[in-house]
Amino acid sequence: MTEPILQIENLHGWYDESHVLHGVTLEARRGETVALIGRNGAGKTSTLRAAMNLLGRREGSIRVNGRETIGMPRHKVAYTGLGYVPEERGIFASLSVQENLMLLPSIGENGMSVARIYEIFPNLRERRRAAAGTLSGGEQQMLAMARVLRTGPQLLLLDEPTEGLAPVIVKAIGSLLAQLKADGMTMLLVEQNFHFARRLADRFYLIENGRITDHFDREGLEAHADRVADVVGV
Amino acid sequence: MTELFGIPMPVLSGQILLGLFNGAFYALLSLGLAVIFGLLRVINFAHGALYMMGAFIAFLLGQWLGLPFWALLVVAPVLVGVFAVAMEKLLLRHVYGLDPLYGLLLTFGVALVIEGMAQYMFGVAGKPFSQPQALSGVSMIGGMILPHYRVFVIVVALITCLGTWALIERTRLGAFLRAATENRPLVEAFGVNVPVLLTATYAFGALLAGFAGVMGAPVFQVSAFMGSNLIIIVFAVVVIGGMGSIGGAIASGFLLGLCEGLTKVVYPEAANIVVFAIMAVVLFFRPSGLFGKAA
Repeated sequence: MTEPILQIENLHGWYDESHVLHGVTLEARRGETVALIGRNGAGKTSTLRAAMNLLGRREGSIRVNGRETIGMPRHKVAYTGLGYVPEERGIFASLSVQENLMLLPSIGENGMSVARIYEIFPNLRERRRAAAGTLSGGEQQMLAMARVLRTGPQLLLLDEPTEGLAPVIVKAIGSLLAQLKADGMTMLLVEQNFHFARRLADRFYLIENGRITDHFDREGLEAHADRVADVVGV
Repeated sequence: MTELFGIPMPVLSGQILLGLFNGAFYALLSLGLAVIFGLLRVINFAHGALYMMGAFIAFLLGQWLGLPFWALLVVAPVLVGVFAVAMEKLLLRHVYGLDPLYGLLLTFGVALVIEGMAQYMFGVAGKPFSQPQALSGVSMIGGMILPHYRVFVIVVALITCLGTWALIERTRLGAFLRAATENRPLVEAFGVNVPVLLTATYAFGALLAGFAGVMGAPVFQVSAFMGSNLIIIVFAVVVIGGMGSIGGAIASGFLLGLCEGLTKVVYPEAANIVVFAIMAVVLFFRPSGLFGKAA
Protein backbone atom coordinates (compact mmCIF):
# COMPACT_ATOMS: atom_id res chain seq x y z
CA MET A 1 0.00 0.00 0.00
CA THR A 2 1.28 3.45 -0.85
CA GLU A 3 1.96 5.93 1.91
CA PRO A 4 -0.96 8.26 2.70
CA ILE A 5 -0.65 11.73 1.20
CA LEU A 6 -1.08 13.17 4.69
CA GLN A 7 0.06 11.35 7.78
CA ILE A 8 -0.12 13.04 11.15
CA GLU A 9 1.27 11.11 14.07
CA ASN A 10 1.14 11.92 17.75
CA LEU A 11 0.96 15.64 17.04
CA HIS A 12 1.23 18.00 19.99
CA GLY A 13 0.71 21.71 19.51
CA TRP A 14 0.87 24.87 21.57
CA TYR A 15 -0.52 28.39 21.21
CA ASP A 16 1.92 30.41 23.26
CA GLU A 17 1.86 28.59 26.57
CA SER A 18 -1.39 26.71 26.15
CA HIS A 19 -1.16 23.11 25.05
CA VAL A 20 -4.00 22.63 22.52
CA LEU A 21 -3.17 19.40 20.67
CA HIS A 22 -2.45 16.30 22.75
CA GLY A 23 -1.28 13.65 20.33
CA VAL A 24 -3.43 13.88 17.19
CA THR A 25 -3.02 10.96 14.80
CA LEU A 26 -4.81 10.84 11.47
CA GLU A 27 -4.17 10.19 7.83
CA ALA A 28 -5.64 10.92 4.42
CA ARG A 29 -5.00 8.68 1.43
CA ARG A 30 -4.86 9.91 -2.10
CA GLY A 31 -8.28 10.79 -3.47
CA GLU A 32 -9.95 10.51 -0.10
CA THR A 33 -12.11 13.09 1.64
CA VAL A 34 -11.60 13.00 5.36
CA ALA A 35 -13.72 14.97 7.81
CA LEU A 36 -12.49 16.12 11.18
CA ILE A 37 -15.49 16.53 13.47
CA GLY A 38 -15.57 18.15 16.86
CA ARG A 39 -16.85 20.95 19.04
CA ASN A 40 -15.55 24.50 19.11
CA GLY A 41 -12.13 24.50 20.72
CA ALA A 42 -11.60 20.76 20.33
CA GLY A 43 -8.52 21.32 18.17
CA LYS A 44 -9.84 21.11 14.58
CA THR A 45 -8.55 24.47 13.41
CA SER A 46 -5.37 24.00 15.41
CA THR A 47 -4.70 20.72 13.62
CA LEU A 48 -4.94 22.44 10.22
CA ARG A 49 -2.89 25.40 11.40
CA ALA A 50 -0.26 23.01 12.71
CA ALA A 51 -0.13 21.35 9.30
CA MET A 52 0.65 24.75 7.74
CA ASN A 53 3.17 25.60 10.48
CA LEU A 54 0.93 28.41 11.68
CA LEU A 55 0.77 27.17 15.25
CA GLY A 56 3.40 28.26 17.78
CA ARG A 57 5.22 25.10 18.83
CA ARG A 58 4.68 21.62 17.37
CA GLU A 59 5.94 18.16 18.26
CA GLY A 60 5.30 14.81 16.68
CA SER A 61 5.18 14.13 12.97
CA ILE A 62 3.31 15.59 9.98
CA ARG A 63 4.26 13.92 6.73
CA VAL A 64 2.93 15.24 3.43
CA ASN A 65 3.74 13.21 0.33
CA GLY A 66 6.33 11.40 2.41
CA ARG A 67 8.10 14.59 3.52
CA GLU A 68 8.33 15.54 7.18
CA THR A 69 7.12 19.13 7.61
CA ILE A 70 7.84 19.57 11.32
CA GLY A 71 10.95 21.72 11.40
CA MET A 72 10.41 22.89 7.83
CA PRO A 73 10.42 26.70 7.40
CA ARG A 74 6.88 28.01 7.10
CA HIS A 75 7.29 29.29 3.54
CA LYS A 76 8.32 25.85 2.29
CA VAL A 77 5.45 23.81 3.72
CA ALA A 78 2.95 24.67 0.97
CA TYR A 79 5.29 23.24 -1.70
CA THR A 80 4.74 19.73 -0.34
CA GLY A 81 1.36 20.06 -2.08
CA LEU A 82 -0.91 21.74 0.44
CA GLY A 83 -3.72 24.15 -0.42
CA TYR A 84 -5.01 25.89 2.70
CA VAL A 85 -8.40 27.56 3.01
CA PRO A 86 -8.38 29.12 6.48
CA GLU A 87 -11.37 29.46 8.73
CA GLU A 88 -11.30 33.26 8.68
CA ARG A 89 -10.83 32.94 4.88
CA GLY A 90 -7.70 35.04 4.96
CA ILE A 91 -8.67 37.25 2.05
CA PHE A 92 -6.32 40.21 1.66
CA ALA A 93 -8.88 42.98 1.91
CA SER A 94 -6.80 45.80 0.43
CA LEU A 95 -5.84 43.78 -2.65
CA SER A 96 -8.15 43.45 -5.61
CA VAL A 97 -9.96 40.18 -6.27
CA GLN A 98 -7.65 39.49 -9.20
CA GLU A 99 -4.55 40.24 -7.12
CA ASN A 100 -5.75 37.83 -4.44
CA LEU A 101 -6.31 35.21 -7.08
CA MET A 102 -2.87 35.64 -8.65
CA LEU A 103 -0.95 36.20 -5.43
CA LEU A 104 -0.16 32.66 -4.31
CA PRO A 105 2.90 31.02 -5.87
CA SER A 106 2.20 27.86 -7.85
CA ILE A 107 3.03 24.70 -5.93
CA GLY A 108 2.06 22.00 -8.41
CA GLU A 109 1.58 21.40 -12.09
CA ASN A 110 -2.14 20.84 -12.28
CA GLY A 111 -3.29 24.25 -11.17
CA MET A 112 -6.66 25.40 -12.42
CA SER A 113 -6.45 28.03 -15.14
CA VAL A 114 -7.78 31.49 -14.42
CA ALA A 115 -10.23 31.10 -17.31
CA ARG A 116 -11.61 27.92 -15.73
CA ILE A 117 -11.80 29.59 -12.32
CA TYR A 118 -13.79 32.49 -13.72
CA GLU A 119 -16.03 29.97 -15.47
CA ILE A 120 -16.77 28.27 -12.15
CA PHE A 121 -17.00 31.53 -10.20
CA PRO A 122 -18.55 34.12 -12.53
CA ASN A 123 -19.04 36.47 -9.57
CA LEU A 124 -15.30 36.72 -9.12
CA ARG A 125 -14.83 37.61 -12.75
CA GLU A 126 -17.39 40.38 -12.52
CA ARG A 127 -15.76 41.82 -9.45
CA ARG A 128 -12.13 41.11 -10.31
CA ARG A 129 -11.08 44.77 -10.03
CA ALA A 130 -12.91 45.41 -6.75
CA ALA A 131 -11.07 45.42 -3.43
CA ALA A 132 -11.48 41.93 -2.03
CA GLY A 133 -12.60 43.39 1.29
CA THR A 134 -15.82 44.54 -0.38
CA LEU A 135 -16.88 41.00 -1.35
CA SER A 136 -19.71 39.27 0.47
CA GLY A 137 -18.89 36.42 2.83
CA GLY A 138 -19.83 33.83 0.22
CA GLU A 139 -17.74 35.48 -2.48
CA GLN A 140 -14.78 35.68 -0.11
CA GLN A 141 -15.09 31.96 0.54
CA MET A 142 -15.19 31.30 -3.20
CA LEU A 143 -12.09 33.45 -3.64
CA ALA A 144 -10.30 31.67 -0.79
CA MET A 145 -10.91 28.36 -2.54
CA ALA A 146 -10.30 29.61 -6.07
CA ARG A 147 -6.88 31.05 -5.26
CA VAL A 148 -5.55 27.77 -3.82
CA LEU A 149 -7.01 25.73 -6.70
CA ARG A 150 -4.97 27.90 -9.08
CA THR A 151 -1.74 26.86 -7.33
CA GLY A 152 -2.23 23.15 -8.11
CA PRO A 153 -2.41 21.54 -4.65
CA GLN A 154 -2.66 17.78 -4.11
CA LEU A 155 -4.34 18.08 -0.75
CA LEU A 156 -6.88 20.70 0.30
CA LEU A 157 -7.13 21.68 3.94
CA LEU A 158 -10.59 23.22 4.29
CA ASP A 159 -11.45 24.91 7.56
CA GLU A 160 -15.20 25.39 7.96
CA PRO A 161 -15.88 26.28 4.32
CA THR A 162 -19.60 26.75 4.98
CA GLU A 163 -19.44 28.71 8.22
CA GLY A 164 -21.85 31.65 8.31
CA LEU A 165 -22.94 31.31 4.69
CA ALA A 166 -26.43 31.29 3.19
CA PRO A 167 -27.90 27.87 2.28
CA VAL A 168 -27.72 28.54 -1.45
CA ILE A 169 -23.99 29.22 -1.18
CA VAL A 170 -23.42 26.22 1.06
CA LYS A 171 -25.04 24.16 -1.67
CA ALA A 172 -22.80 25.66 -4.35
CA ILE A 173 -19.70 24.97 -2.28
CA GLY A 174 -20.94 21.44 -1.68
CA SER A 175 -21.26 20.72 -5.38
CA LEU A 176 -17.85 22.29 -6.10
CA LEU A 177 -16.20 20.06 -3.50
CA ALA A 178 -18.06 17.04 -4.84
CA GLN A 179 -16.73 17.85 -8.30
CA LEU A 180 -13.17 18.23 -6.99
CA LYS A 181 -13.54 14.92 -5.22
CA ALA A 182 -14.75 13.25 -8.40
CA ASP A 183 -11.66 14.66 -10.12
CA GLY A 184 -9.50 12.89 -7.58
CA MET A 185 -8.62 15.73 -5.17
CA THR A 186 -7.69 14.72 -1.62
CA MET A 187 -9.38 16.81 1.07
CA LEU A 188 -9.19 17.21 4.81
CA LEU A 189 -12.39 18.93 5.81
CA VAL A 190 -13.04 20.55 9.15
CA GLU A 191 -16.75 21.08 9.68
CA GLN A 192 -19.23 22.00 12.38
CA ASN A 193 -21.99 21.37 9.91
CA PHE A 194 -22.12 17.61 10.11
CA HIS A 195 -24.87 17.27 7.53
CA PHE A 196 -22.60 18.99 5.05
CA ALA A 197 -19.61 16.81 5.92
CA ARG A 198 -21.47 13.50 5.83
CA ARG A 199 -22.41 13.96 2.19
CA LEU A 200 -18.79 14.44 1.13
CA ALA A 201 -16.53 12.52 3.46
CA ASP A 202 -15.30 8.95 3.04
CA ARG A 203 -13.96 8.77 6.56
CA PHE A 204 -14.52 10.62 9.80
CA TYR A 205 -12.33 11.45 12.77
CA LEU A 206 -13.82 12.69 16.01
CA ILE A 207 -11.63 15.12 17.93
CA GLU A 208 -12.14 16.06 21.58
CA ASN A 209 -9.84 18.09 23.81
CA GLY A 210 -7.02 17.93 21.31
CA ARG A 211 -7.17 14.15 20.87
CA ILE A 212 -8.67 11.90 18.20
CA THR A 213 -11.20 9.86 20.16
CA ASP A 214 -12.76 7.83 17.37
CA HIS A 215 -12.64 7.22 13.67
CA PHE A 216 -14.80 5.32 11.23
CA ASP A 217 -15.73 5.24 7.59
CA ARG A 218 -19.01 5.97 5.82
CA GLU A 219 -20.40 2.52 6.58
CA GLY A 220 -19.64 2.95 10.27
CA LEU A 221 -21.57 6.19 10.43
CA GLU A 222 -24.87 4.64 11.57
CA ALA A 223 -23.19 2.63 14.29
CA HIS A 224 -21.46 5.77 15.57
CA ALA A 225 -24.49 8.05 15.32
CA ASP A 226 -24.70 8.50 19.08
CA ARG A 227 -21.03 9.36 19.40
CA VAL A 228 -21.30 11.86 16.58
CA ALA A 229 -24.39 13.44 18.09
CA ASP A 230 -22.55 13.67 21.39
CA VAL A 231 -19.45 15.30 19.85
CA VAL A 232 -21.12 17.78 17.54
CA GLY A 233 -23.98 18.43 19.91
CA VAL A 234 -26.88 17.84 17.54
CA MET B 1 7.24 94.01 -10.26
CA THR B 2 4.31 91.61 -10.19
CA GLU B 3 2.85 90.76 -6.85
CA LEU B 4 0.41 88.25 -5.42
CA PHE B 5 -1.33 89.21 -2.15
CA GLY B 6 1.29 91.90 -1.77
CA ILE B 7 4.16 89.46 -2.06
CA PRO B 8 6.60 89.93 -4.94
CA MET B 9 6.34 86.99 -7.35
CA PRO B 10 10.07 86.16 -7.38
CA VAL B 11 10.03 85.81 -3.58
CA LEU B 12 6.91 83.67 -3.68
CA SER B 13 8.15 81.41 -6.47
CA GLY B 14 11.54 81.13 -4.80
CA GLN B 15 9.96 79.92 -1.59
CA ILE B 16 7.65 77.54 -3.43
CA LEU B 17 10.69 76.02 -5.10
CA LEU B 18 12.56 75.83 -1.80
CA GLY B 19 9.49 74.30 -0.17
CA LEU B 20 9.22 71.64 -2.84
CA PHE B 21 12.95 71.02 -2.55
CA ASN B 22 12.68 70.38 1.20
CA GLY B 23 9.49 68.46 0.53
CA ALA B 24 11.43 66.15 -1.79
CA PHE B 25 13.54 65.04 1.17
CA TYR B 26 10.52 64.75 3.46
CA ALA B 27 8.79 62.60 0.85
CA LEU B 28 11.74 60.28 0.19
CA LEU B 29 12.34 59.76 3.89
CA SER B 30 8.74 59.43 5.00
CA LEU B 31 8.08 57.03 2.11
CA GLY B 32 10.85 54.74 3.40
CA LEU B 33 9.53 55.00 6.94
CA ALA B 34 6.00 54.22 5.81
CA VAL B 35 7.04 51.17 3.77
CA ILE B 36 9.15 49.83 6.64
CA PHE B 37 6.48 50.46 9.23
CA GLY B 38 3.76 48.96 7.04
CA LEU B 39 5.43 45.59 6.69
CA LEU B 40 7.85 45.28 9.61
CA ARG B 41 5.79 47.22 12.19
CA VAL B 42 9.06 48.83 13.21
CA ILE B 43 9.27 52.58 13.73
CA ASN B 44 12.70 53.06 12.21
CA PHE B 45 14.45 55.67 14.32
CA ALA B 46 17.68 54.87 12.48
CA HIS B 47 16.24 56.45 9.33
CA GLY B 48 17.94 59.81 9.88
CA ALA B 49 21.24 58.08 10.57
CA LEU B 50 20.91 56.06 7.36
CA TYR B 51 20.29 59.31 5.49
CA MET B 52 23.42 60.79 7.03
CA MET B 53 25.30 57.60 6.22
CA GLY B 54 24.40 57.99 2.54
CA ALA B 55 25.85 61.50 2.56
CA PHE B 56 29.02 60.42 4.36
CA ILE B 57 29.64 57.42 2.15
CA ALA B 58 29.27 59.70 -0.86
CA PHE B 59 31.66 62.20 0.72
CA LEU B 60 34.27 59.51 1.44
CA LEU B 61 34.03 57.76 -1.91
CA GLY B 62 34.28 61.14 -3.59
CA GLN B 63 37.44 61.92 -1.62
CA TRP B 64 39.13 58.52 -1.87
CA LEU B 65 38.17 57.31 -5.28
CA GLY B 66 37.21 60.55 -6.92
CA LEU B 67 33.92 59.04 -8.08
CA PRO B 68 31.67 61.49 -9.93
CA PHE B 69 28.36 62.56 -8.40
CA TRP B 70 26.34 60.35 -10.72
CA ALA B 71 28.22 57.25 -9.62
CA LEU B 72 27.90 58.24 -5.97
CA LEU B 73 24.17 58.64 -6.43
CA VAL B 74 24.02 54.91 -7.18
CA VAL B 75 26.87 53.41 -5.16
CA ALA B 76 26.34 55.15 -1.82
CA PRO B 77 22.63 54.21 -1.45
CA VAL B 78 23.43 50.61 -2.39
CA LEU B 79 26.08 50.49 0.36
CA VAL B 80 23.54 51.90 2.83
CA GLY B 81 21.19 49.15 1.67
CA VAL B 82 23.85 46.52 2.30
CA PHE B 83 24.37 47.89 5.80
CA ALA B 84 20.61 47.72 6.32
CA VAL B 85 20.54 44.06 5.25
CA ALA B 86 23.11 43.24 7.92
CA MET B 87 21.27 45.33 10.48
CA GLU B 88 17.96 43.60 9.74
CA LYS B 89 19.41 40.10 9.81
CA LEU B 90 21.54 40.57 12.92
CA LEU B 91 19.41 42.86 15.07
CA LEU B 92 15.97 43.85 13.87
CA ARG B 93 14.86 40.26 13.19
CA HIS B 94 14.90 39.56 16.92
CA VAL B 95 12.32 42.18 17.82
CA TYR B 96 9.62 41.16 15.32
CA GLY B 97 6.44 40.18 17.05
CA LEU B 98 7.41 42.02 20.21
CA ASP B 99 5.95 45.31 21.39
CA PRO B 100 6.80 48.02 18.77
CA LEU B 101 8.63 49.85 21.53
CA TYR B 102 11.50 47.36 21.26
CA GLY B 103 12.02 48.08 17.57
CA LEU B 104 11.88 51.79 18.27
CA LEU B 105 14.47 51.55 21.04
CA LEU B 106 16.71 49.24 19.03
CA THR B 107 16.76 51.47 15.96
CA PHE B 108 17.20 54.54 18.16
CA GLY B 109 20.23 52.85 19.73
CA VAL B 110 21.65 52.00 16.31
CA ALA B 111 21.13 55.62 15.22
CA LEU B 112 23.09 56.87 18.25
CA VAL B 113 25.93 54.45 17.47
CA ILE B 114 26.10 55.46 13.79
CA GLU B 115 25.95 59.16 14.62
CA GLY B 116 28.51 58.76 17.40
CA MET B 117 30.90 57.01 15.03
CA ALA B 118 30.43 59.66 12.38
CA GLN B 119 31.10 62.37 14.93
CA TYR B 120 34.19 60.53 16.19
CA MET B 121 35.58 60.11 12.68
CA PHE B 122 34.66 63.45 11.17
CA GLY B 123 34.12 65.83 14.07
CA VAL B 124 31.17 68.12 14.42
CA ALA B 125 31.97 70.56 11.63
CA GLY B 126 30.16 70.07 8.33
CA LYS B 127 32.07 68.70 5.37
CA PRO B 128 31.95 70.46 2.01
CA PHE B 129 30.47 68.57 -0.89
CA SER B 130 30.22 70.24 -4.24
CA GLN B 131 27.35 70.11 -6.66
CA PRO B 132 27.91 68.30 -9.91
CA GLN B 133 29.24 70.74 -12.49
CA ALA B 134 26.50 70.03 -14.96
CA LEU B 135 23.84 71.19 -12.50
CA SER B 136 25.53 74.16 -10.91
CA GLY B 137 23.88 76.90 -12.97
CA VAL B 138 20.67 78.88 -12.63
CA SER B 139 17.98 79.67 -15.16
CA MET B 140 15.53 82.52 -15.24
CA ILE B 141 12.09 81.60 -16.49
CA GLY B 142 9.44 84.28 -16.44
CA GLY B 143 11.00 86.11 -13.53
CA MET B 144 11.53 82.87 -11.59
CA ILE B 145 15.03 81.92 -10.53
CA LEU B 146 15.54 78.20 -11.00
CA PRO B 147 18.74 76.77 -9.55
CA HIS B 148 19.34 73.68 -11.69
CA TYR B 149 20.39 71.42 -8.87
CA ARG B 150 17.24 72.08 -6.83
CA VAL B 151 15.00 71.46 -9.80
CA PHE B 152 16.94 68.28 -10.50
CA VAL B 153 16.40 67.04 -6.92
CA ILE B 154 12.68 67.79 -7.02
CA VAL B 155 12.21 65.98 -10.32
CA VAL B 156 14.34 62.97 -9.37
CA ALA B 157 12.63 62.64 -5.99
CA LEU B 158 9.22 62.85 -7.61
CA ILE B 159 10.14 60.16 -10.16
CA THR B 160 11.59 57.96 -7.42
CA CYS B 161 8.48 58.36 -5.28
CA LEU B 162 6.10 57.62 -8.14
CA GLY B 163 8.23 54.65 -9.21
CA THR B 164 8.10 53.27 -5.67
CA TRP B 165 4.37 53.83 -5.51
CA ALA B 166 3.91 51.97 -8.80
CA LEU B 167 6.18 49.15 -7.64
CA ILE B 168 4.11 48.66 -4.50
CA GLU B 169 0.64 49.27 -5.88
CA ARG B 170 0.93 47.85 -9.38
CA THR B 171 3.25 44.82 -9.37
CA ARG B 172 3.08 41.28 -8.06
CA LEU B 173 6.05 41.94 -5.80
CA GLY B 174 4.14 44.89 -4.38
CA ALA B 175 1.08 42.69 -3.94
CA PHE B 176 3.18 40.31 -1.80
CA LEU B 177 4.23 43.29 0.26
CA ARG B 178 0.69 44.62 0.68
CA ALA B 179 -0.68 41.17 1.49
CA ALA B 180 2.09 40.57 4.02
CA THR B 181 1.31 43.95 5.56
CA GLU B 182 -2.21 42.62 6.19
CA ASN B 183 -1.40 39.08 7.29
CA ARG B 184 2.25 38.10 7.36
CA PRO B 185 1.98 34.51 8.66
CA LEU B 186 -0.64 33.57 6.07
CA VAL B 187 1.36 34.94 3.13
CA GLU B 188 4.30 32.94 4.42
CA ALA B 189 2.19 29.78 4.74
CA PHE B 190 1.12 30.20 1.11
CA GLY B 191 4.76 29.78 0.11
CA VAL B 192 6.17 33.30 -0.04
CA ASN B 193 9.60 33.71 1.51
CA VAL B 194 8.54 36.42 3.94
CA PRO B 195 11.85 36.64 5.86
CA VAL B 196 13.58 37.65 2.61
CA LEU B 197 10.75 40.07 1.85
CA LEU B 198 11.26 41.72 5.25
CA THR B 199 15.00 42.07 4.71
CA ALA B 200 14.48 43.47 1.22
CA THR B 201 11.88 45.94 2.42
CA TYR B 202 14.08 47.28 5.18
CA ALA B 203 17.01 47.53 2.79
CA PHE B 204 14.86 49.33 0.23
CA GLY B 205 13.65 51.88 2.79
CA ALA B 206 17.25 52.41 3.89
CA LEU B 207 18.35 52.75 0.28
CA LEU B 208 15.81 55.54 -0.23
CA ALA B 209 17.18 57.27 2.86
CA GLY B 210 20.75 56.89 1.61
CA PHE B 211 19.69 58.22 -1.79
CA ALA B 212 18.14 61.28 -0.15
CA GLY B 213 21.37 61.68 1.83
CA VAL B 214 23.52 61.82 -1.31
CA MET B 215 21.16 64.34 -2.91
CA GLY B 216 21.18 66.42 0.25
CA ALA B 217 24.97 66.40 0.57
CA PRO B 218 25.69 69.29 -1.84
CA VAL B 219 23.06 71.54 -0.26
CA PHE B 220 22.93 70.73 3.43
CA GLN B 221 26.14 70.35 5.36
CA VAL B 222 27.45 66.80 5.53
CA SER B 223 27.62 66.35 9.28
CA ALA B 224 26.99 63.65 11.85
CA PHE B 225 23.69 65.17 12.92
CA MET B 226 22.26 66.20 9.56
CA GLY B 227 19.85 63.28 9.84
CA SER B 228 18.65 63.84 13.37
CA ASN B 229 17.78 67.45 12.52
CA LEU B 230 15.65 66.32 9.63
CA ILE B 231 14.09 63.14 10.98
CA ILE B 232 12.00 64.86 13.64
CA ILE B 233 10.17 66.79 10.92
CA VAL B 234 9.89 63.62 8.82
CA PHE B 235 8.23 61.77 11.68
CA ALA B 236 5.73 64.61 11.92
CA VAL B 237 5.16 64.27 8.16
CA VAL B 238 4.52 60.53 8.52
CA VAL B 239 2.07 61.12 11.35
CA ILE B 240 0.24 63.73 9.28
CA GLY B 241 0.13 61.50 6.19
CA GLY B 242 -0.93 58.45 8.16
CA MET B 243 1.38 55.61 9.17
CA GLY B 244 1.67 52.93 6.54
CA SER B 245 0.05 54.88 3.69
CA ILE B 246 2.41 54.97 0.70
CA GLY B 247 0.64 57.65 -1.33
CA GLY B 248 -0.01 59.59 1.86
CA ALA B 249 3.66 59.69 2.77
CA ILE B 250 4.61 61.04 -0.68
CA ALA B 251 1.82 63.62 -0.89
CA SER B 252 2.23 64.90 2.63
CA GLY B 253 6.01 65.12 2.20
CA PHE B 254 5.72 67.52 -0.71
CA LEU B 255 2.71 69.35 0.73
CA LEU B 256 4.36 70.04 4.05
CA GLY B 257 7.54 71.21 2.36
CA LEU B 258 5.35 73.60 0.43
CA CYS B 259 3.53 74.77 3.58
CA GLU B 260 6.84 75.43 5.24
CA GLY B 261 8.07 77.40 2.23
CA LEU B 262 4.92 79.51 2.07
CA THR B 263 5.02 80.17 5.81
CA LYS B 264 8.50 81.60 5.33
CA VAL B 265 7.00 84.17 2.98
CA VAL B 266 3.97 85.05 5.04
CA TYR B 267 5.27 84.77 8.59
CA PRO B 268 8.90 83.61 8.70
CA GLU B 269 8.96 83.27 12.49
CA ALA B 270 6.49 80.37 12.31
CA ALA B 271 8.29 78.43 9.56
CA ASN B 272 10.07 76.11 11.96
CA ILE B 273 6.95 75.09 13.81
CA VAL B 274 4.32 75.06 11.10
CA VAL B 275 4.72 71.33 10.43
CA PHE B 276 4.21 70.53 14.10
CA ALA B 277 1.24 72.85 14.33
CA ILE B 278 -0.32 71.05 11.36
CA MET B 279 0.47 67.72 13.02
CA ALA B 280 -1.34 68.79 16.19
CA VAL B 281 -4.41 69.89 14.23
CA VAL B 282 -4.46 66.73 12.10
CA LEU B 283 -4.05 64.49 15.13
CA PHE B 284 -6.91 66.28 16.83
CA PHE B 285 -9.37 65.85 13.94
CA ARG B 286 -8.01 62.75 12.19
CA PRO B 287 -5.91 60.65 14.57
CA SER B 288 -5.07 58.15 11.82
CA GLY B 289 -3.61 60.86 9.58
CA LEU B 290 -4.81 62.59 6.43
CA PHE B 291 -4.46 59.52 4.21
CA GLY B 292 -4.47 56.78 6.84
CA LYS B 293 -7.26 54.30 7.33
CA ALA B 294 -8.94 54.45 10.70
CA ALA B 295 -7.52 51.64 12.80
